[in-house]
Amino acid sequence: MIAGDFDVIVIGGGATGGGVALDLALRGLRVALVERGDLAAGTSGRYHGLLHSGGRYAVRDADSARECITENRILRRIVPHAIEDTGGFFITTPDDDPAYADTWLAACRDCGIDAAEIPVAEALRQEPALHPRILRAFRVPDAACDSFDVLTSMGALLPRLGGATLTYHEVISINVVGARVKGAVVRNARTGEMRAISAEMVVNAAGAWAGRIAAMAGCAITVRPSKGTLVAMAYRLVNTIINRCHPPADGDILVPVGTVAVIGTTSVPVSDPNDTSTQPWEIQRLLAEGEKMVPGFSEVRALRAWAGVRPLYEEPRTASGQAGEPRSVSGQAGGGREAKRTFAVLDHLHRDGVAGLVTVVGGKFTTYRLMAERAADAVCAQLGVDRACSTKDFVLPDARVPLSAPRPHWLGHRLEDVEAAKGLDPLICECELVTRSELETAAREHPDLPAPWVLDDLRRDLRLGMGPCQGGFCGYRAAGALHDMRGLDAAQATSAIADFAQRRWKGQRPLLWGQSLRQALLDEHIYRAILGLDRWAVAERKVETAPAQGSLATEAPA
Amino acid sequence: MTDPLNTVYFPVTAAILEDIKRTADLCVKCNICTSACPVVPATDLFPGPKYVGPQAQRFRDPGMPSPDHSLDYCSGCGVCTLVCPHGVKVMEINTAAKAELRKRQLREHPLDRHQWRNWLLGHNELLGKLGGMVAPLANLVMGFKPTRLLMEWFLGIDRRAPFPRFHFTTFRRWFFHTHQRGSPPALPDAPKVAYFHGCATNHYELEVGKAIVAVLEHNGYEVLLPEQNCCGLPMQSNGDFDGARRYALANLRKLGPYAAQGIPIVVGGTSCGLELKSDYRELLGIHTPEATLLAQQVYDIHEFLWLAHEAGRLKTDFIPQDRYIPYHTSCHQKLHRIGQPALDLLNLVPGLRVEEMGFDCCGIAGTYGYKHEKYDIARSVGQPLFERIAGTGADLAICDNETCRWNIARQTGIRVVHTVQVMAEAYGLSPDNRG
Amino acid sequence: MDDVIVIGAGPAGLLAAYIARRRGARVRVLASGIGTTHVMPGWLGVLHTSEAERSLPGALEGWTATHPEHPYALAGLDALHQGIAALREVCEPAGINYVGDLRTNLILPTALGATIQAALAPESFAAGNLLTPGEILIAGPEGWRDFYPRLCAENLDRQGFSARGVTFPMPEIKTGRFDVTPVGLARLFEQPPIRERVAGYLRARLSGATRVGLPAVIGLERHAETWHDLQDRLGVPVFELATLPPSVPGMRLFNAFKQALARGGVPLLLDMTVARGVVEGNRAGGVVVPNPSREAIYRAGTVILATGGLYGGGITTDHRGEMREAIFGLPLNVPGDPGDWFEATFLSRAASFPAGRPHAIHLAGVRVSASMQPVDETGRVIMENVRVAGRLLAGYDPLGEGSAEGVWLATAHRAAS
Repeated sequence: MIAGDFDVIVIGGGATGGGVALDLALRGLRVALVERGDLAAGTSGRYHGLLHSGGRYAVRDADSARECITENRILRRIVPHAIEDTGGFFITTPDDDPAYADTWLAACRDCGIDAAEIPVAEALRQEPALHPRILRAFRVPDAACDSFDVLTSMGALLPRLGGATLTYHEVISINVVGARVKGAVVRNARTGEMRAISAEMVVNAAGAWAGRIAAMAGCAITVRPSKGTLVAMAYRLVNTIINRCHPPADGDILVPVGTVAVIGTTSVPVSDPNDTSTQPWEIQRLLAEGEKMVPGFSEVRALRAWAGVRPLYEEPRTASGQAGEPRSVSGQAGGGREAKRTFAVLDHLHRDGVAGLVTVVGGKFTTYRLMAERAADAVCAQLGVDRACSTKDFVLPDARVPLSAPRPHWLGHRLEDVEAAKGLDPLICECELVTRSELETAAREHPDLPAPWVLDDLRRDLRLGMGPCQGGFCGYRAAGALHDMRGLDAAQATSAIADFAQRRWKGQRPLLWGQSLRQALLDEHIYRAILGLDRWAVAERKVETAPAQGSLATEAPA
Repeated sequence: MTDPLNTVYFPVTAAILEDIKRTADLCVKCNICTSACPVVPATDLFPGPKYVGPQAQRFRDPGMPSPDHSLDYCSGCGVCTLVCPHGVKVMEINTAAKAELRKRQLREHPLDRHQWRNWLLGHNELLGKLGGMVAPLANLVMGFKPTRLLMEWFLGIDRRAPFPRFHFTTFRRWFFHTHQRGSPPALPDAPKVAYFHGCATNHYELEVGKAIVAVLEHNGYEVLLPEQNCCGLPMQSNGDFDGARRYALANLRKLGPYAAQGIPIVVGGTSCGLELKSDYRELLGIHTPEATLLAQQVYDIHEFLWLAHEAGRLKTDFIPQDRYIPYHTSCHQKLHRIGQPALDLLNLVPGLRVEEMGFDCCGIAGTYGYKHEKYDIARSVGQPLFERIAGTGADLAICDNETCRWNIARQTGIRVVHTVQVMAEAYGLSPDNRG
Repeated sequence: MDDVIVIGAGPAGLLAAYIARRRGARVRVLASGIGTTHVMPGWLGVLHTSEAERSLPGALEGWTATHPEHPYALAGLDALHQGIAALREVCEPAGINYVGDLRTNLILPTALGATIQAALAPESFAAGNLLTPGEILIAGPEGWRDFYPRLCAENLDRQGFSARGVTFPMPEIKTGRFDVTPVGLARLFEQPPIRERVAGYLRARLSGATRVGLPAVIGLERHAETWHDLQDRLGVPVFELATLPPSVPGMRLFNAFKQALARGGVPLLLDMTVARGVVEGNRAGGVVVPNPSREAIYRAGTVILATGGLYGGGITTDHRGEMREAIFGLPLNVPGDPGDWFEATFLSRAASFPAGRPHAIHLAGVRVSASMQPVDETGRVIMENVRVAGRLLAGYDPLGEGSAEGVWLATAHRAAS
């Protein structure tokens, strides 16, 4: 066992954990960010891709709504490269009650969300795919946000601030000595090697798994995981985020995320946060709801289905507002749509008598920075560090082009880059325009190239295999290029292709009809009839080559 | 008809891309289109139809400038659409995207000589009219090397590009002033057919029109010549969709009454026919009942004659020939999806041996090959075809499309005619008879 | 009116059209586009053999005995041999010669360095047969995204086949927007100076290799002369390995068919998607092809459906889980509900034959009689002048069995006879 040496360990490489790690690092602390899979492999990588204006929560959860709009404005400043300013509409379809819109509009005004009614003709002109008989339309400042870009930037920046990003390191135990947390023991997912990391503080930002992590330190918190399924349609049917103007329900948001359009979501309570399975009824529901917003929706090619698990926090019944808990939320049993989406920062010293542990749980992607700020404040309070949060104004550099000022994302910029390069840099992934040199650069920065899941990680960095062919052509090319770089041997490269193919399959399988089916058959033909991959296939062995993450083969947009 | 310009169709950035976007959705990335594209092997500047088509389409936001450059080298021949097994309308996607590209280029570089050139080439009809007015002089000037050099330098129209000869008179003038006056009136029960001749026949290739009229009348049809204007394709393929739409709507007004009466409208030029049948709706976004009705009444001339044959209406009193003629099917002909009626018709002529040369595109692709920066690409595309035709030793070749005929004639040095001209001759309808 | 209309321009349709024409029929081919010639690897698989049963005829006998509904059993093995003979007729004038004794399978290397069994292969693939010993040098253009010689060689090597990988410089693929699909490379190889350069480079690096494997890009239109020339210059046998689509060997095959059909006066009409058939009682009256203006009806005495199953578009599916034979609505053999169509594991290890559980969907298709006429569950012929060939047929798993090419060879012949 090897000792580490940090001020804080942050457990959980999602937006919250990344945000906390960054916040603390900017305050001068040495931070280790520990994540059992890849950054954004959990809920942050499986959400809708939406930077909320807060409109969705205005009526039922005004606190959440206010948080959203405030953070929405901040995030546009600090992570511009990950945000595409699509704008959003709330529309009253023929299936919705037109009167609700007035309630909603008033609620938005109360929350400080600039929602404005626009003529239906204007909405239809801007989005001709919309249902021609919508009754009302409103404009809101929604935007699309790529969580992978955000996390990649955080992960790349942390070492430069004196910290460390330890992906594929699962926390096995938290070291508590005499009611004081001293650090954690982590296990390398690929090698199995154990490592003890000492630190004065541990932040539990493990999202849907926060309960399990807290339990390792003897603290009980109740997280109610609520699973939601999303479907990406193969092309960008709309260029504006479309919300149904009605009480929040299944399948009522459609988000253009880069080259695809994502519809979501459902809400199914689950007991195991690793459960990211999708059910046929959920898919059919989403398609049916999609039809109400965009006629012909169910005829469009459905590219991929996946699920993410919302970390809904349930406050214990007997709790009352205590110091260190900025939010007292009366949680409701059963999770789901009625549960509030605000967050909680739990200082376990006051709550459970365990020093050195802070949990931050609940919330949503849009409010990650605020959650991180509060959690970091709690950490600094315990450590006696008197530094203010600076994340409100700290602009995250774009990890892909770290030396230039980040520019806001627009759909065509990948094509523009490739056109400018005049084809001198071959395209490895033609669907998503990923070039060989991009692949090689990202590979060089990957901490563990020989791991069988390397292509899936690179996918999150680059969008490799996330287009219509779902890796059919680029799996082999990417593995070959990595082998060419001498990054991995033939056995590892072959395992990587098989692993990648299986993961891509997981998200395609629920949607195998129409053109997606034809694509999958072509992909299978390439892998089996041309490359002969089934000779080395991962047969009955389950996909969890990365540790216990359940169904790793799915992911979220962008 | 109320003014339709602003009300009955969606602007180009919406409904058109919407339709075409749907088919980009079908692409499985097999690259069969790229393997068939005739431009790809001819230049390093074009990455292929899949790249500029369904692949790049996913990155085009209608609200933002199109980030394309290499798209410009797509010739619009349509072989990609032809071979795609999944129904992606690759060429149509590319054409719509090119319009957006041109719009941006016009905004950014309004004084660029290529803009002037594209405008000129798009106004084919006007060129024909103006040139025709001073035909002998125009022909002299156009045959003059220094003129062509100047055109290349100032406008970017290649000096070698195959320009046809101007004529004083037009086909229409011949029809009304010479033909109708000199012919007996049609029989009262003669079925009517309206003839859409197009700019090329009207100004440059009157003999094609004369042959078509002769053959139709020989088979007992009364040929009507409606008011008409340029179909709009040259403008459309040079990115001026608004201009093309104006022409389209004008044609709908002029031809509409004939379509409404169920009078078939036959078109001699393959590309014009495709424009009327398909592009008005699919590319220009004119989804009116009039546009649909027109499309339903438009027939390619070969298609019409063959259907007449199948209905037992076509005379087969051909003079036996003893002749071999090579035939080139233009790329656009295949997009009509009507099979090969021209070859079927020529097969009816005893002794006539017509051989389809087996190439997809002659390279000129409408106005593409006229452009200086594309001329060599176009010639490279057509080279195997030219060699094969020249190698047959024949003194005559047939092609259904006008600029293709001029192109093949220029490159092979042999005479190239329209199918119906050969039919007319086989019927014994000499140029004098057609008087 | 034609005698025979063939729907589908994949290998099954093209072969059926050729055979029908050879019998004197007036034939027309209507297709949506180019078919699976352009994605096929190039070799012809008939049936996997195993350690237990190495003989191909033995395996086929055994297979047809135990699988009476399989296309091989229905069409008969004689049809398979006749289909192969017809294919040779088509290919020989185009300079494509198939090699294989049909007694045992060849074992050929793939681009990944895995192995695949094939009954026949074009002669430009033959020297890659791993049953024949000999040091292998795998070579490919440096920086080409579709082939990785060292990966291929290393994988072959760890299976016990002595192989080394090397790349050769090919600056032409790095100039601007050069066509980097296999087709672009094939055209490059047709240039003698390029062959000379490549051969020179590799000859100096043979060191003991007795054969050289290259990606299947050794010429397209002038393939035969290109391959022979390269081999001569190298001084050792040269073999091709199948690449990702578009498949150059498949294109060579398509061109061979195109020429054969043109010689026979058979129109090969693409972008002519048949929307539906014309049903008159228990006969097909013809088929309907919509064009921009109207619908055209093509009539024929016989209609051969070679529309390709689920990938080819011969069978359509939708999100409600409904499967439909696209033209005549023929009854389909559908494996259960959409939930049953596919296994959770994408690739099951094919360590032994028969392979691990196939995805049930592969068996979906149209059931036929021994003469390839579509039948219902009771075996009654539904449409007497319709024949089915190729992937549209029910009851076989081409990937698991290794029978993809064999089935279209056999059934195209049967359907057209």
